[in-house]
This record gives sequence, C-alpha cells and structure tokens, in this order.
Amino acid sequence: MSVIGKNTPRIDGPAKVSGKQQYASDIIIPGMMYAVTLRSPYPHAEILSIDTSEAEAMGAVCLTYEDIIPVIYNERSVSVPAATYRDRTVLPKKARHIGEPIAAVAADTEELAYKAMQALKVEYKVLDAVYEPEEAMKDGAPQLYDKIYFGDEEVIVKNNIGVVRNIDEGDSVGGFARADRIFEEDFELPRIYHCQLETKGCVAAPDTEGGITVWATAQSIHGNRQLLAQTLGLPLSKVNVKKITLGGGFGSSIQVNTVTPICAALAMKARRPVKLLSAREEDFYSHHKYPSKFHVRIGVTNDGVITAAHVKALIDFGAHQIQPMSFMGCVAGWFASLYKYEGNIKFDGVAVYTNKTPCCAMQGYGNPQINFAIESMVDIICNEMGFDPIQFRLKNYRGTGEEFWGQGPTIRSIIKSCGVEESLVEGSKLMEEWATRGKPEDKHGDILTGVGLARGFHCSGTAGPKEGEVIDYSSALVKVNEDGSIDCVTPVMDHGGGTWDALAKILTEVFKVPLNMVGLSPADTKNTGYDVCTHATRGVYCGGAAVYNAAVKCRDKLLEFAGRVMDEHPCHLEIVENEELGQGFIQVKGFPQKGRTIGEVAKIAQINSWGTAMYAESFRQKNCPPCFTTHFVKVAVNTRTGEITIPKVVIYGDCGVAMNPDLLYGQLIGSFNRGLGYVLYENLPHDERTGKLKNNGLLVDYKMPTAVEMPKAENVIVRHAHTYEPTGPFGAKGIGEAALASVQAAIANAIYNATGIRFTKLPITPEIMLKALQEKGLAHK
Amino acid sequence: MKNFEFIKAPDVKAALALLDKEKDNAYLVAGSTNAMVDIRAGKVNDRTLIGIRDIEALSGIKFSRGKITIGAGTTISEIAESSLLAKKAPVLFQAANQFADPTTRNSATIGGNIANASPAADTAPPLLALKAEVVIAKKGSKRRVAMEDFFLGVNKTVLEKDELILAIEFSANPHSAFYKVGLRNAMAISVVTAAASVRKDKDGNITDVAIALGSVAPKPVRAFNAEKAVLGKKADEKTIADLMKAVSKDISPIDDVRASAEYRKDIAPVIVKRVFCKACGICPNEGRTK
Ligand SMILES: Cc1cc2nc3c(=O)[nH]c(=O)nc-3n(C[C@H](O)[C@H](O)[C@H](O)COP(=O)(O)OP(=O)(O)OC[C@H]3O[C@@H](n4cnc5c(N)ncnc54)[C@H](O)[C@@H]3O)c2cc1C
Repeated sequence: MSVIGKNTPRIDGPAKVSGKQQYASDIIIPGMMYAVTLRSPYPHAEILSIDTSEAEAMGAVCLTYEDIIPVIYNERSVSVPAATYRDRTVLPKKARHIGEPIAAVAADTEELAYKAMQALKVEYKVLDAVYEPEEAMKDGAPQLYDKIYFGDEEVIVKNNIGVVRNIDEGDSVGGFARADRIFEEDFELPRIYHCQLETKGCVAAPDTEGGITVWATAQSIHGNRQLLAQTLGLPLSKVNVKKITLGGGFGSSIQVNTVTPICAALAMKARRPVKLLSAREEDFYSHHKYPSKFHVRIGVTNDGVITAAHVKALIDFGAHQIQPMSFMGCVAGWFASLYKYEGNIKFDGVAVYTNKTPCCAMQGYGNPQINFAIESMVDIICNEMGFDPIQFRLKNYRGTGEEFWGQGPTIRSIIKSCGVEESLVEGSKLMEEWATRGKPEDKHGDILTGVGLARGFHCSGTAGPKEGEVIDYSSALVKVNEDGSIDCVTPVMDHGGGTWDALAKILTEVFKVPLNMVGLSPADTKNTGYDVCTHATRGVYCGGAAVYNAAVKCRDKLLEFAGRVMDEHPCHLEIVENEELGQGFIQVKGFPQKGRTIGEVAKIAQINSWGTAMYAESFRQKNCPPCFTTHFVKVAVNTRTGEITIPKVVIYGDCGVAMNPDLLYGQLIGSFNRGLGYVLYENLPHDERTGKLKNNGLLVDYKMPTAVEMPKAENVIVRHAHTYEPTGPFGAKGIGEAALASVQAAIANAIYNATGIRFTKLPITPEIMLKALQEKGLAHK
Repeated sequence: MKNFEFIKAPDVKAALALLDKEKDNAYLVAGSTNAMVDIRAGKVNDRTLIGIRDIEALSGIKFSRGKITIGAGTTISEIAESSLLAKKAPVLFQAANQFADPTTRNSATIGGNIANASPAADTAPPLLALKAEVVIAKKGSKRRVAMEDFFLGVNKTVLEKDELILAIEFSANPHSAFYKVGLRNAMAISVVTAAASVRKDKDGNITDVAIALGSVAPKPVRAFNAEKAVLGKKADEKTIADLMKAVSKDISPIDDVRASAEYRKDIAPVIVKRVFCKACGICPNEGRTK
C-alpha cells in the first residue's frame, strides 16, 4: 500500500521523544574545549584594543579581530553573489549592536572559559547609536558603515541606507486613474524573535591534515562549508560540515550563524576541538524577524476590480545585511502575486541600517508582513464598498494559469494547481458563524465577537523556468542494496517539519518498498552534491524532486539489470508492490508470473559484477508553485480588560498531495499558534537609552502563546484542498511558510468585525485593545 | 559556570543550625524555581545553598478546628490538587491552579513563593485575603507574623538571615476567590491579581471582608479602602460600584515590560469586582469567553 498521502508515524519520533536524537550540542569529542563569546555591551562602539593576556594566563585560547582573516562576507549565500551585499567579518573592529560577538575564548571547561571571557580587557570608544530607520536616514545621524560591497563592487553607504529597491510594472498611473475609489493606509509590524527550540551552536574539530570537521545548527551544510572555507582560507575539500538534526529553524539558520565561523577559527587556532553554544539570552540578540512599515495604495472600480496597487516599504534590518535586498524583492513578489491588479503594480522599498540585532528570514520572508497589509486593505475595501469578501477575492486573485512571483521579480512561473476557490467556499461553510457575522455596529455587550477572513500563500522553493537572483537546486544519491532496501544520501535538511519522512516516502513510491526498507544515510558536504538550503518551503518540492529524479534514474538502471536477468527488454518491466515479499517486485508489465524481487536483481548484478544500481545527480525544479492557505477566525474581545481570545478557527491549506496529512496539520496548527503570537503577543522593543532589548533577552518577558491560548481542539478545524501539483514529486508542493501567511490579517479582520476598530499596527495586546475601546467609547467597567 | 556550596538539610533542626552557622552566607533553597534564576543571574556566587526540599516536617496540609496549616515546603501542585483547600479556601486553591505550569508547580513551594516576596507572587494575595499568619523559626525560638506585616517591599520581607518559614496558618473560608490576569494563560507573571474573602450574616450583610491585590504596588497589598466600601453592606449594584471606585486608592502601580500603570489601573477594579462577586457567590454579570 502506498504511503504517500497517508499518516505514518514519524521515523525520528522515537529518538526525539526519548531524548536520544543527537543535535550539534550533543557532540562531544575527546579533548574538546568549551568556548564562550564576549558580546558587546554597547550598541555602537569602536574597539580600540582587546587585551587577552590575563585570559591566556588562565589557559584560555582567545580569538579577536586580529586573529581572523578579514574576509568581508554575507552569511546568507542563497542569493547569487552579484545580488548580495557584504558588510561583515568573523569578528568586528566595531560593534554595531548590543550582543554582537566581539571576541571569543576557549578553555578546558565551560566555567574556565567563562572566567577567561570576563578577564578580557576591551577598550571601547563608545559612539552614538541610532535605532529607528527614520532617524537613521537623517543627515548627521550616526553612521554604521562607510562602505560595503555589492557583489564585487564597493558601495559608499549614505544616510545608513542599505538597499533601495523599486519595481514598476504595467501602468500604475493609468490603473489608479481608472479606479473609482482609491484606498490608502499605513501598516506597521514589530520585530519578533524566532524562538527556535535549539539555540545556535557549533562543534568544530580540526584534523591532522590541516582540515576541519564541523557540526553546526544549520539549514544548509553546503552554505556553512563555503563560508568556513573562505573565512579559514582553506580549500573546500578540507572543510567538512556534517548533516545533523536541527532543533527547529523558522529561518534563523538560513544563513551561517555568527557563532559558527568563530567556533571554527577558535578550533583552528587552538588545534583542538571546540564547542560553542549560545545561551538563550545570547540567541535573542542573534537574529530577528524583519520589522516592516508599509504605505499601501489600492485602486478599485465600482464593480469590484482592483486596477492598481502601490506599496512603499521601509525596513529596519539592524546592524548587518542578511539580505534585505532579496527580502524586499520577495515582499514585492508576494504583494504582486496576491491579486491581479490588472498588471499595474509599483513597489518602492528602502531598507536601513540601525544599531539593532540583524534581521533575517523568519517563516514567510516578508510574506506575513505584506499579507497583513494587503489582506487588511481588502477587508477595508469590502467593508467600505459593500463587496462580499469571498466574491471580491475570487474576482481578483491570481490562480491557475496566472503568473506567480516565487522569489521576487526574477523568479516567475505559471500557477498549475490552485485550491483557493475550494478553500474560500468550503471554508466559509465550515465556519458557520461567517454567514451570520453581522456588522460591528450591530454588536453589543461586554464580550464582542467577530469573524474574519484572509488568504495567503507562499512559494514552494525558489526555482523557475529561468535562473534568477536565487540559487536553487538539490542533490541526491540513491542506491539499491542487495536485499532490496534503499539508501539515499542527500544534504537536504529537515527543520523538524518532517521533510526527511517525505523524502523516504518518495523513495518507497519509486521502488514500491515498505517505509522500513528505505534509509537516509548520514551525509556531509564531502559525500554530497550541493543543496542550496532548506528554506522558502522548498524541502519536499525541490529537495524531494532531487531525490525523486535520482531514484527514477537508479530504478532505470535496476530495470536494465533486471532485463538481463529475466531475458526481457527493460521497457517491458515494471516494479510493483508485493506485501508478502516485503519489497519491490520487478515483473513483465501486467504479468506477475514472470518476475524477481529488486533485491534478487541487485544481488545477481553484484555476483555477476555488473555493478550497483545507483545514481547521483543534482536537480533543479523548473517551477515555483504557490501553496495556498485560507484562515477564517472567530475572536471574542473582552471590553473590560481588552483581552482577546480565539474561540474558533478554520484553516485551509493547499499543498498539493500531502505526504503526511498529520504533519501537514501540525504545520498548519502550529503556525496558527505562531501567528497568534505575532498578532496578539510578541514584540521586541528596545530601550532607547541603552540599546538593550527591554526583555534583556529573557524568555520570561517574551510571551508567546502556548497550547492553552489556542481554541479548544474541536474548534480548530483543519482541511486541505484537493489539488495535485503536476510538477511536484507525486503531486506535492510545500506548506510550511504559507501556513503563517494569512493568520495575521484574518485575526485583525475579525477584531474589526467584532469592534469596528481597524488595527494596522501589531501586536494588538490587551492594553492596546482596551485603549482603543476606550477611545471609541466601547470599554465596559 | 557559577560557584556555590550545596548542603542538604535532613530536618528542621539541622536547617536551623546551618542557618545559624552560615548567617549572611546562607541561601535557603526549597523548590529552587527562584533560586535557579538567581544562580543564573550570578546572584548566588560564593554562597552556601541549604536544601530544605526533602524535609518532611515542612510539607503537608492540615485541617483542625477550622484552622488550616500548610507547611512551608508544600508544593504548589499539592495545593492545586487539594480537595480540602478547594472547599475550605478556594481562593488559594484557584491561585495554585493558575500558577506557572504543572512542571513548575511540582517544584515550587508556598514558602518559597512568599519568602521570595515578588509583588507578583501568586499565593500572596490569597494569603492576605485569608488573613494568614506566617510561622517562623530560628535556632532556639519561634515567632508568628501576620501576612499583612510580612512583606516589606520588592523581594523584601521581615525574615532575618537565620530564619526559616515553618508554615502558614489561616482560618478556613469557603467564600473566597482569586483571579489572575497575565500576558497569557499559563507560565506568565501576573499583570494584576486579586483575591477576596467575605463572611456574611443571615441577612446578607457583609460582616467581614479582606481583599488583596498583586502586581499593583511594590508588594502584595490589602485593599483597605475597597474593603471599607463594602463592609456592613449588601453586595448589591451600588456597593459593587463603590467598591470599584475605592480600589484606585489602594494601589500604586508602575509601568514595566508587562503592562503600563494605566492599564493596571484600568483593569484592577474589574478584577476586584470579579473576585468579590465570586466570593459572595453572585454572578458578576460578565465572564471569560473561554
Ligand atoms: C518558569 C517559572 C514560572 C513561574 N511562575 C510563577 C507564577 O506563575 N506565579 C508565581 O507566583 N511565581 C512563579 N514563579 C516563581 C517561583 O516559582 C515561585 O516564587 C515559587 O513559589 C518559589 O518557590 P521555590 O520553592 O521554588 O523557592 P526557592 O527558589 O527554593 O526559594 C525562593 C526564595 O525563598 C527562600 N525560601 C524558600 N523556602 C524558604 C523557607 N521555608 N523559609 C525561608 N525562606 C525560604 C529562598 O531562600 C529563596 O530566597 C515562576 C518561576 C519559574 C522559574
């Protein structure tokens, strides 16, 4: 029985629940030293000198900017070099945000390392700092950089402006002129933190041949290897990064983590293995989600056609560029792909340096941000002009046959599968309260309820018919063993969402073997071809396609062997399932009388010295299909305390064929919880005097919703659309990031429906809610 | 990474002797849920931790002749699961059930909660509302302190360096209730908490009342003005309105990362109304939607 589309227990489940799964932090090597980083207490300061003598006298090995090769890099290597800004080194001569690693020490014990770190004497020249992008752009504001690099070109930084990105398509002037009404609004989304379970860490072990082996918290082992080779001045063949289980990513390790090259450089200097782990308080200062401000203008005709849209974006990306350039391209793409706008779109983006923690991708890469703005605008338009929110969306959305920008303007392909209509129509029936939700002005009482809708999507990978700004391909090696079991070596990472299970399932389907007959082999950068990274919801659709492609070619080779064994032409052979034999069975198409198991064929091929049925190749997808989501949310607003609860939610996901529906539902429900946090709870304000995070990097003052903030289990209604993606492995696309895209606007739209109050700024905490209710005269005592 | 000694005390006598010997250097640890945070923050370096978690005599809930005695080492879980307290002191029972999460409750003790003296300590308003007494011992002597006099300020109490809380005592009162507002429903430091206990005569007049709040002042506080507004009256609409007005005179909240003073002022009356009505057994004409 095929396991594609079936619920199967996670292969790594037992190891994870019993605590036996190994992560980078579990690696222990004899003779290993422990490292600690010294982090900047100032948001902006030149480092005049670092005196390491006392620490060294304690037996510690120290690393400062004087010990590193001053390669200027961008730790995110997903974009092509020519579209990448570079501004940083392994350790800086100038601290640009609080918590930035300034130096590191390694010692025999963690305790000694900690003491040695405290014994480092740093002379700083403290500089004025700037925290808000509007301030940073003013003449005379403190400057974070003089010059940076774009590709190989030197770029002079003016007014802290890191990137300007403008996109203009169609005729937006004409489009707005044709509109009967033009809507305009400002939106603002906060800085938040990934809070992935595993804090960023690394173990690095130099070998006797001058090379190094590394285990790191990573979403891409090859990305890590490339940067380490560069910053250590080693050939790639001397750097090996091992694939190891990742304790959650949410995008926080798309780039090479700051601690990784530090750890590797320390290990090389010490000539001993070194472990460097981040404490949660340090991790909090490591990466954040991009806070975003948008000004949105949308033109609509009286019969409900959107004729043009214009988005202006202002992005505060913190102290280093981890690709606000591609981030803004993607934001433009998500915006452009939501609706047709008669093809008239304009995007003006500015991204600015500030003395805050650098921002990187976080579940959706700008999609949850811009989706909140556009889907709130659609709600405003429908309310003001009296359109039915579902019909309006169906009239204007981009669906099958339309162009989708999968990763900014350079990655475009045609949508070939689409569950939007099913999700909107069927979803509205599952949320019975949708039809009777009424208008805000009709609601009374101290608890106000409302229902909101929003739809969204994300890309499945970043590939396309033509190469663009982003690199996208994966590699895999597949081989058939002599007993009919299958090995696969691939660098594709799993964030915990079940990517590896999906890869295993793809193999079972090609070779018609049970799940326990396939295994993913330990992999590293030396024994695998390149894989760009598990990001952009590409694990199954792109990584899985590479495995599928190698598996099919391996199968062809096996059938060729089988032809020799069975005196048949391989084109007449097929592999079918045989539950009794417990492995794949090769037979003459339609005639089980003549056949052999795949294990027998592999064994005979071996005995006859024909070789092993195996194949290794890299593979690029040629499409970037959107995976769609729709959320119907019911909210209840307490007008006495401002507390907002969610009594019910309907979530519709469209991932093509779901490799494992349970894991799909887990993604959708988990992401709803994260969205709940983004809309109602999370924020990372800075203290303007000190530049510190107001929560001091402590979880105790960073509240994220838990299970008890969720609606009751029976009121979390999850469905997936009945679609099949023709270009995906066995009909699959992605889901991970899409699962968050429309949560924000759906909740905010529901709050509007309950109270008549339109929130365009997140988060909407009880305190902010109560204030707004008081201003509207709706608060009760 | 941090340095300290750890000695486990087998019984109360040994604990008191150790306290006497170590004096300023001593740091008692029961469930360690505050202590671990202090250790992590480097506040415990070079101290001697005296472990009292396993001292049997410090743990347990007893009821005799209308009086309830809770050992200082009793865990919040034990309180949260006590059917006795559910009936005789619902205010404390409810607070225990909204305290942190089940794993933390398994370690955290009531003695540690009040000794730590956070303005947000969740068992403090209930104990104030129950007019509890703290039983304190040091080597060679014992004393009792009214809950009301126990807290001095943020993390400050009347406890001397060599003293140990043995138990907390109070009279049972089934007409008592607790409510907590936090930034989420579990594992949250409170933004405002309120506790109330009332006694009524047969005509429904309130003959005795105690109301207390947490997170609205440097220490958990009694709301004397609010109490005055309802004492001797019936719990009708007018009384409740007066009660809500009076609360603002009892509190002096500040802005912190969790909430502004203004928000606390806005919701404290609402929360006090809720607990008062719940304690009086009347429906406050408003409820949570969940
Ligand atoms: C994750 C987490 C969540 C939390 N959530 C909450 C919450 O929701 N509500 C809340 O109120 N608190 C909360 N806390 C704080 C803490 O759990 C409580 O204050 C708890 O009751 C402390 O008890 P303990 O036994 O762990 O104390 P310990 O950490 O062992 O001790 C705390 C302090 O009390 C002193 N002490 C302990 N026992 C005695 C005694 N018998 N006599 C004299 N001094 C003593 C110690 O010396 C120390 O100074 C939380 C803590 C954590 C880590």
